[in-house]
Order: sequence, then structure tokens, then C-alpha cells
Amino acid sequence: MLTSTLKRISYLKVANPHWLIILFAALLWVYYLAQQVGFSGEAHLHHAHHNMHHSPETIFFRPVLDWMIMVYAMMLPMTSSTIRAIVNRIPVARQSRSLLIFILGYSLIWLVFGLVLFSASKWVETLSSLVTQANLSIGALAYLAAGVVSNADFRIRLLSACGSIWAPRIVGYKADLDIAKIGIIEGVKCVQTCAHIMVAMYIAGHNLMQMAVLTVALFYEKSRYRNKEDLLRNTCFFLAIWELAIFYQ
Amino acid sequence: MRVRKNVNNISDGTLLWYSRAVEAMKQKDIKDPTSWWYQGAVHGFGLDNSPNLAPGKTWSELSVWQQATDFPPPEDLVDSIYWQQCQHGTWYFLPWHRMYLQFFEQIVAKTVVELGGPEDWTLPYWNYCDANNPALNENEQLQALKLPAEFGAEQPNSDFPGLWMVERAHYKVSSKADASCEAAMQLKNFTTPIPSQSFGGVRTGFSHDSGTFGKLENNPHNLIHVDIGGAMGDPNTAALDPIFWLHHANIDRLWQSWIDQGRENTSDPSWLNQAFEFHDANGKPVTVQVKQVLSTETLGYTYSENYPDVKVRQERDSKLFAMTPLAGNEIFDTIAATTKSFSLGSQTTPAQLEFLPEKQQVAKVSALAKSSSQRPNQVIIALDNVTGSGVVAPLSIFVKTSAAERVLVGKVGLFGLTQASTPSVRHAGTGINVELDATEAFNQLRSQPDWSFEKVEIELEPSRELGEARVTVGRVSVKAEVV
Ligand SMILES: [Cu+2]
Repeated sequence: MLTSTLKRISYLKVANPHWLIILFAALLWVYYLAQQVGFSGEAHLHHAHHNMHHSPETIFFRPVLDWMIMVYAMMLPMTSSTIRAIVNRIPVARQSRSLLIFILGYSLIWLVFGLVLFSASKWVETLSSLVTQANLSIGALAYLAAGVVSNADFRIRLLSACGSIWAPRIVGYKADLDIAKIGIIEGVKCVQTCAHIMVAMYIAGHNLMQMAVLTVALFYEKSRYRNKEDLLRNTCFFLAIWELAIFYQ
Repeated sequence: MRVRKNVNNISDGTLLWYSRAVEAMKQKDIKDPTSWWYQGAVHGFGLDNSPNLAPGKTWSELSVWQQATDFPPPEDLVDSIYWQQCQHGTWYFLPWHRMYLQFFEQIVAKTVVELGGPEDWTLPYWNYCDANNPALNENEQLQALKLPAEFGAEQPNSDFPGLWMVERAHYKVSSKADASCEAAMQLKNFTTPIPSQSFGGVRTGFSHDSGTFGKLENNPHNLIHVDIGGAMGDPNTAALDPIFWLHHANIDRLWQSWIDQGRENTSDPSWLNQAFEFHDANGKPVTVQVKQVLSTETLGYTYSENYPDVKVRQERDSKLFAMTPLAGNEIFDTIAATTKSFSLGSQTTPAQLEFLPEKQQVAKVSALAKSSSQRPNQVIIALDNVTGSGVVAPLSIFVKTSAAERVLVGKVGLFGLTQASTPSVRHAGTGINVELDATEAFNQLRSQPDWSFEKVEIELEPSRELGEARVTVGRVSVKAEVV
């Protein structure tokens, strides 16, 4: 009985080597929910321009931390096929270490992208107030634009590339180097395929519901992708309407 | 209920009507869903002009497609959801091709009726597996490797002009090893994390171009494709060869036969619910889900009893057969791998292995030697990121230790090499991945006197000249089961 349960668990682990990553992402969602329920209003998931009144270090660290938490919650589940590919190609003794290095390489790209985004936050604010003065919803515009980008050829090309890696070397620092490279390449691919979504959310000032809707849409698009589905585009358009409804209510 | 029969066991007008229907379908416009050209393009379409479909020939994808009626097709048709849909390197390989065959058979049957033929035309199958059928004599076995005479050899059979294809490089499969259906039939699971242990292929999303091959897909499916070569060797032209359909009918039969052994398909909902688009015999678009094609009887057909069928298996199983198939949940440790990619020549190419230091090995192949009472530890040889272009003849993989004679591990068919190596909307361009079960080969090596794992060498050898084809192997590795 016990052994069969253990076997079952070990099978699930073999079949889903990314389970720890998924668990981590799930915990982040629990954290978000807890925040939402616990201290409504005070703890926003929100970033730069909401943090004006805090001390200098919170101005920098807080938004970066928030950004990375959001990246992990939304983007880590997308890496599962890559993680499966890595685990199948690396010695068992190196697996945990390799996954860590992979995540580090992957995070690095998102971090750099986040920093670029923050450096443009002043610009976003100006744009936002201009658009609002013109009695238009900046959020709706952002999602509309994201929707248009969603079906671009380069995105579809990158989507089909998910989980395809160049097999690493297996001994010494060279193995780590190859894994870091896989992380960076995957990060770049992921930023290219999802940046428009993240930017739209950043501009719209994401709420948790929209974030959840997008995560589900992204995950579905990735795992069930067919060259016909306009799922992500339609989701973005839907969110644009949502933003309009909020704006004009 | 239609019964799909072994092409070598039929003497009625099936092939004659097939030949006529092919000719009639070729007359039709490439934009007509019931034309020969459109049906071929549903599988794949490409206009590469490199003459790499067969060594010494000028055939290219372009030269094949240029023969189509009303070529070139409009751009939006090429990019539509109906063209270039074949599923390779994926657990959708079997169900997609079943759907494809089903509609093709209906279209041919309708054409046959229109030509004044019988109402019940049924697609036959080409059972090359018979080349390894112990119930047959040597002559009969070799006969199974040949294309049926109606398809021509060197030149068309004048009674069956529709079954001829100029761009066909070979008229028989070059080796029994390219048609060994038994190994796949022994597997227990449709899908596992380990490709070589997966009968139906590994879990993927929509996968038009080749990626990681499951067992049945590599051998015999891919090997037959590249061994016949020419148009058959390239997914973008393969379905234009009339033999393609008989080859795939046999693959579809093997799936049914595997189920009849008491095996089960995966019950994963994303597999069951995946939908694909086709056109029916009236040219009307249809959408079919995987779960709708799991029973051939519901679809209106069965297969005649043939090797390797249930009866043969039961006989074989009753003899003592050392190899117990894996459950599919084994953990494998990667214990040796090459460190640089290398290109393949027409002759033997050695793979320079780097060995994982013994203290880091969780699985110790060297220690696996003696325990003969139990199932031997499984060893896998994996080829990763195989890129290149053109049709490459079946690739043999050998292992050896320095002095002794080399042992054949298995053969690899690089079907879809060009497509898998080109970054596109349909593929990452990271090439083909394929695994071979090397357990038996390693058992043989271990019995040699100077055996030690660190002395193992791997060799790759194409069974024919490469010609214009190019192959680069990203990595070769050895994986051993952790026990
Ligand atoms: Cu095929």
C-alpha cells in the first residue's frame, strides 16, 4: 500500500518534473488572494506610480519585487515543457541545480525587461493622463493594442518553439553554462511572446481578476495551441471592453 | 463494415480502381479539396528547390509540386487550417493520420463510384512487417519488403499507371530492420515521459513538424518513409505517392492491433479533446476530435487478421521472452553524452562521448551486468537536435568497446529533417530528437571480455550515400535506468 503510493508519487514526479515550479506559482496566487481579501486597497499589486510617497528604497525595490512576483505567478507555469526537456537531458545528480540555474537565467531577462519598463513609467503616466483628458480609457487602448499583436506571425513562431531546447553538456561548469543559456534563450522567447500582455497590464493597472483571466488564456494558448485559435487576441479585446466599462461607468 | 485487407492478399479490382481514381483526382484543381494535390497538401506542402529528395536525382519539393493541376495554389490556401496539418513527433500522430486516411478513403471511394466502379472501395494496407514474420519463409519475408508489383519497379506497371510515381527512389525496403514492428507492439503505454517507451508518442501541443518521435513512429513508420525515399522521404511531398496511403493504413492497423492486445490509449483530456480540420468526400469542411476516432468499427471499418496480430503474440508470449516491457515510470539518468555537435558523413561517424564521473552517476551501467534473474536494466541511446536538410536513408546506430565487434542498437528514420531544422511558424528549428532502446545491445557488450562502460563507443552510419542531404547531430547521449 505504502510502496504503491510512493510509486505513484514518484511517477507523478517523473512525469511532471516541473511540479515544484507549479507549486511555487500556485503559492504566489494564494499570496495574491490573501492580499486581496486581507488588506483590501492597502496592498495593491501595483507598481511605480502608486509608490510615490514611500522611502527611496521602496520606490525601487518594492516595484521590482512586485514585478518579479507577477512574472513568476504568470510566466513560470509556461516553462513546464522546457523544464521537462531539461530534466530528460541532464544527469539526475544535476537536476535541482540545473532547474535553479534555468530559473535564474530566465528571471534575468524578465528583470531587465521590468527595469526598462519602470524607466519608462514617467512616460506612461504622462501618456495615461493625456489619454484620460481626451476622455479615453488608457487600459482599453493598451489591451486593444495587445490584442492586435497577439496574432502576429513572430509570436506564433515563438509559441511553437516552446519546450524545444538545445541539449546541454552534462559535466562540470560547461553543463551549468549550457543550462543558463537555455534559461536566457527561453526568457527572451517568453518576453517576446508575452511582453505585450505584461505591458498592457502594467499600463492598465492590473487587477487580480484580469491577471487570472490572462494567465488562464496564456496557459491554454500554450498547451492547446492550434494555428487557428484567436484565443489570446479575443481575451485581450474582452479585457479592453472590461476596461471601457470601468472607465465609463 | 468495410474490411481493409493486406494488399498482397487481394486479387479483386481494388488496385485497378485505386489507379483510376488517382488519375481522376490528379486531373482536379489543386484548390478542390477532393483533388489528389489538395489531399497531398493536407499532409504537407513546400516549395524548396534543393534537389535533395534522393542522391543523384534532380527531384525537389518544387519539382514535385509543379506538376499539380493549376499550380501554384493561392497563398491563403497554403496558410489555411486545412493545409500542412500532419502531426509528427507527437501523441497526435496516430489519431491525426487515422482521420486523414478516413476522409481520403471516402474521397477515393466516391471517385471510384463516379468512374463506374464498385460501391465499397476500401483502402488496402502494405504489411512490410511480414518481413519479420516467423511464420513465413525467407522468400515470403523478402517479398513483404517489396512494393506490390502494381506500383511498378523502375518503371510503371502499364495496367496501373496511377500507382506509379516518378519521384520514388526505391521499390523495396532495404532491410528487415526497417520494418520491425514487434518492438513497438511490446510497449505497455501509449504515452510516457520517455519517448522510446511510448507506443503512440510523447505529449505535445499541435505538432506539425517532427520533434521527438515515439516508438511506432520511428520504427517502422519513419524508416519506411525514408527508405523508399524520393517524395516519400519528405513530409511535404510524401502523400503524393500512392503507396503512402497503404503504408499509413498499415500503421493505423498496428495501432488497432496494439489495442486488441488489451492495451489502452491515454485518457488525458487534452489528447481526447484535440480537434483537427478536414474536408469530407463532398468537399465540406469537418472538424473531428481525437476521441471520435478511437474505434475503427464506429468509423465503419476493420482490418483483416495479419501479422503481428493477437494470435501470433499469444504464441510468442507463451514462449519465454526475456524482455518485460517497462511500466513507463522509470527514472533514467544521463550518464554519457557528446560535448560538441558533429556532422554526418556517408560512411561511419563516431560520436565522442564524455562520461559522467562515476560518483555523480545515480545509475551505474557498469554495475548492471550480472543480475540476469531479473529484468535487465534498461539503457537508452538518445539523439538530440538532429538538424539538416534532405532525405537521409535510415541511420544505423552501433555500440562497441574498443576491440570487439560492434553491435547494432537500432535504426533511426529522420523523416521531416528539413522542416524540423527550419525555424518557422510550425517549428522551433531545434531539429529531431529520437531515442533507441539499447538494453539488448548493452547486454551483448557486457558479455565481451574487455567490457567497461567508459570504453563504450557509439557509431552512426547511414545505409546509403547522403548525396545532397546534410545532417548535423547536436548531441548523442546514453541514459540508464535508475534502480
Ligand atoms: Cu507518414
